[in-house]
Amino acid sequence: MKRRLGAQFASGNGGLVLLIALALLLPLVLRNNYDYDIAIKIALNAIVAVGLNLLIGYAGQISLGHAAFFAIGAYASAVLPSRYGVPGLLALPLGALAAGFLAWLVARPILRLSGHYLAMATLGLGIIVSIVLNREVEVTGGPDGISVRTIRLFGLALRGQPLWYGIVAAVLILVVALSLNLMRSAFGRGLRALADSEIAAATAGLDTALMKARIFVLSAVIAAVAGSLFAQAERYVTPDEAGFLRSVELVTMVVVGGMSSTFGAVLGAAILTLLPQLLSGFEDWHDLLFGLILVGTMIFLPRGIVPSLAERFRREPAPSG
Amino acid sequence: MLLETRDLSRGFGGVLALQPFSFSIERGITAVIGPNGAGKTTLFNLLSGIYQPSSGQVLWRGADITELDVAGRARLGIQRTFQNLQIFFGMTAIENVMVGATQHLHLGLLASLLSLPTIRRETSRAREEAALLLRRVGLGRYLDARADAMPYGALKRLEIARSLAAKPELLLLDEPAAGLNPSETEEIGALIRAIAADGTAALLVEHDMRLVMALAERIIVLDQGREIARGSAEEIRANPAVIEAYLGAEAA
Repeated sequence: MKRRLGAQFASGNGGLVLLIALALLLPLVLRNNYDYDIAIKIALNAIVAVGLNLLIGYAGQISLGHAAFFAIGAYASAVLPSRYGVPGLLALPLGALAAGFLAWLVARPILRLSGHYLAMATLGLGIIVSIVLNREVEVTGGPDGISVRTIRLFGLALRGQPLWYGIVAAVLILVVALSLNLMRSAFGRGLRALADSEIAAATAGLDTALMKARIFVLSAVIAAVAGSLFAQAERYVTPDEAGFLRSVELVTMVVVGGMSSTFGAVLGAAILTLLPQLLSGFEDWHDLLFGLILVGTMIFLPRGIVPSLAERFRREPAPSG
Repeated sequence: MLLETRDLSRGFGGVLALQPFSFSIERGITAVIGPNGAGKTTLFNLLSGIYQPSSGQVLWRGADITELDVAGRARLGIQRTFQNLQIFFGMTAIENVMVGATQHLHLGLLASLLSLPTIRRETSRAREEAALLLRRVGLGRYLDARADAMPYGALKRLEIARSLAAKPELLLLDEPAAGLNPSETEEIGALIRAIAADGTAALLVEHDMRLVMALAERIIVLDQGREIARGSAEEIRANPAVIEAYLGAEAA
């Protein structure tokens, strides 16, 4: 019974039901806007981490610049409506499109090479985006950041943390479901295969460079969507969102929760978003703490939390999910 | 002709690992033999597209495919196995074989994300076909075993099952019996014969002479990158140049 339960969760459906139940029940314990805010941040980080896990955990490629795509989505929702009069609802797909296009431009030439060139390229991309957001003061507001206009839908203002919690939680559930679907498809199996042996995947007829590029673009688009939702929920955006340490945080979430596990990415995001809140007196130690967690995970749970637990529940480790 | 090479050669920093080599395959089992360093693996890498030749051409059904990469050749119907196994160790046996069939499956990203009915139907059909193939190569009891928990001999068959899932017209087998015990070697031999009988042409690189002599209809002997003999098993056995190459290699 125990093992069957484990298998059910590993296959994804049980986990998805659990996630939906958690999202529905969580408001019962959220006492105020501050609590809601943390829940929103967890869900947003989880959305990015689930997307990033497709790239890191399954396709075996590392991005050190995913905060840049998050920031592109966030700034699209902040800048387009206030400076160019673009409707707020349209800013989200435009930001996602811009991030996806940029990701494609970077990935297509880079991913023809095997090795970890993508990590270097995305590191550079993150730094460039960060510089642009800081320097283009007239457009982005510079280091001080920029406030975000509230979206109006049929005369109703979309504001308030409970409302945005609902929206963000729904998007997280959707992204998790899409990720689970993908990993059950031939495309998903191909991704896992090319991370194991690129030459054998090519021998099976897979265009590995194209598949890696497409999954990178998808993960960038997901990050940008999360960024847009972040801008709307927080109503203020600063260039810190694009910073290198933010990118490292996102990678840490995937690694800690469990590479090649969709729910691992969600759990990693939850842990690493909550931890700094619980240790709020130690803000100066924040980056050090993340470093320690990353190193500790690599040493003690190299496969991450969820895959290690899944292995205990059943002899056969989780193939996907 | 299914596959043909014209003066195909490959050098590595001044050393010709394969001197201009021409041959063709239509059907049945062909074997390439020769002492270590003869150029057999170089030839395989040239045929499967891992190496680009220094000179010469590779033709598939008369069309020049010299420039085509590994995946492109795989989609034409050329499959191969690897001397040092290339298995997807993080996946189960059945998933390994399902990946082999990927080129015949729908790979649309959007359809996959939405798990459209076509995707689900294809996945369950691919799973059934993969199970059949695993049973056919004698791995019926390993269906859901993770590859990294399988014994070496089983992995050799798993690689063959994965390449068969692509429904190849030509199968390149790089030392399929290496590391196998005599009874496993006999079973692999029977499997290769059955594959060829089903109409898949096979090109075999192998050190086990008994296996080669028993299976191959044509044998090509390479030595130090150069072809020294070509013919039937009887002709090769009696060829003085071949005896010289092998005895010379053993005496050294």
